Amino acid sequence: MKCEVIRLRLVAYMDGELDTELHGQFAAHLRQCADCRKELEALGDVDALVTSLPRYGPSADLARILVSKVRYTVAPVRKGPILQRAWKSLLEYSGRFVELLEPETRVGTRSLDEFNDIPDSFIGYAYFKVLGPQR
Amino acid sequence: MSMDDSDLALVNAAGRGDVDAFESLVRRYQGPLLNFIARTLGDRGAAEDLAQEVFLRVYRAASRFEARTKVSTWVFRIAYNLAMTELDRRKRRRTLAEALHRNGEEASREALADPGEDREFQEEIASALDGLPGNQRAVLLLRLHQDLSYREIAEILGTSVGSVESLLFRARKTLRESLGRRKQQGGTK
Repeated sequence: MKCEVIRLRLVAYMDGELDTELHGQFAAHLRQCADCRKELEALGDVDALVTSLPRYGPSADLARILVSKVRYTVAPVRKGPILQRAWKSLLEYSGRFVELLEPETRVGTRSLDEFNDIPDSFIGYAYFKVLGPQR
Repeated sequence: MSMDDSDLALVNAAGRGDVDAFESLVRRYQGPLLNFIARTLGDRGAAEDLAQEVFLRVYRAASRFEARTKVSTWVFRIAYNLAMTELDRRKRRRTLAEALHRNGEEASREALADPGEDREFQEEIASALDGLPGNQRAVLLLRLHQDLSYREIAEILGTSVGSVESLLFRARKTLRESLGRRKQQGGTK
């Protein structure tokens, strides 16, 4: 194996990311090639320097601040309660059903854009949203 | 129970609003996460705020977490994305005022270093690290400080294992040249 090929993937060798067969081939090459060994040592020195940098630690009250924030201001995003989701599906279904029975009803509701902010748990949702002009 | 299982249990509990579980998760990850953000940004002061933002996002999204990846990968992915966004923002808004402010941070970083260690040399290493592009720096830190595999790093970055290897290759090559140059300059003084 040529030195150019070895050097391109020397970091993967160093990090133990080569498969067993390739790792063996690299090791065999390194045993007999002083230049590539020198390259490996130089890269190892870089790693040692970066690893030697002191680790920054969090301030003592980071966890306390976060707990206080989530306790009083932030809530996890939850899926809606099952009844609310079932009710929404029922409204969707009944809207489609009415549309099948009376397709002309849809024509009469086309201009009701002003009702677009209607809450989706409201009974009128089926009428204005499902039968509305956008659907 | 393995670390991964226990992480998942904590995230699930936090998703149900269990603040104690969230606190355990914060205490487990705050050290490595803060170090990663501080070294990636090259700014210890801003790292604390960003780490808070990461944990708040974790809490908000905990109920939707699907265990397709490890919790640690998920947490570091949020941190990586926020850190890269912050670096982009700084790059765009770099002004004279920010340059002056950064000088102030350099001084505070020096003051944070352990007085028993070779501060000057560590400053040189940190400075060479800061000279790398943000994604190369982050990948190197995930590899050397967090000891993550290429596959885990690729998941965090949302990229391929080959790209991770390439980023690590370029990061180490640049650092080697940069530190070698400084060594030579130091020797010729």
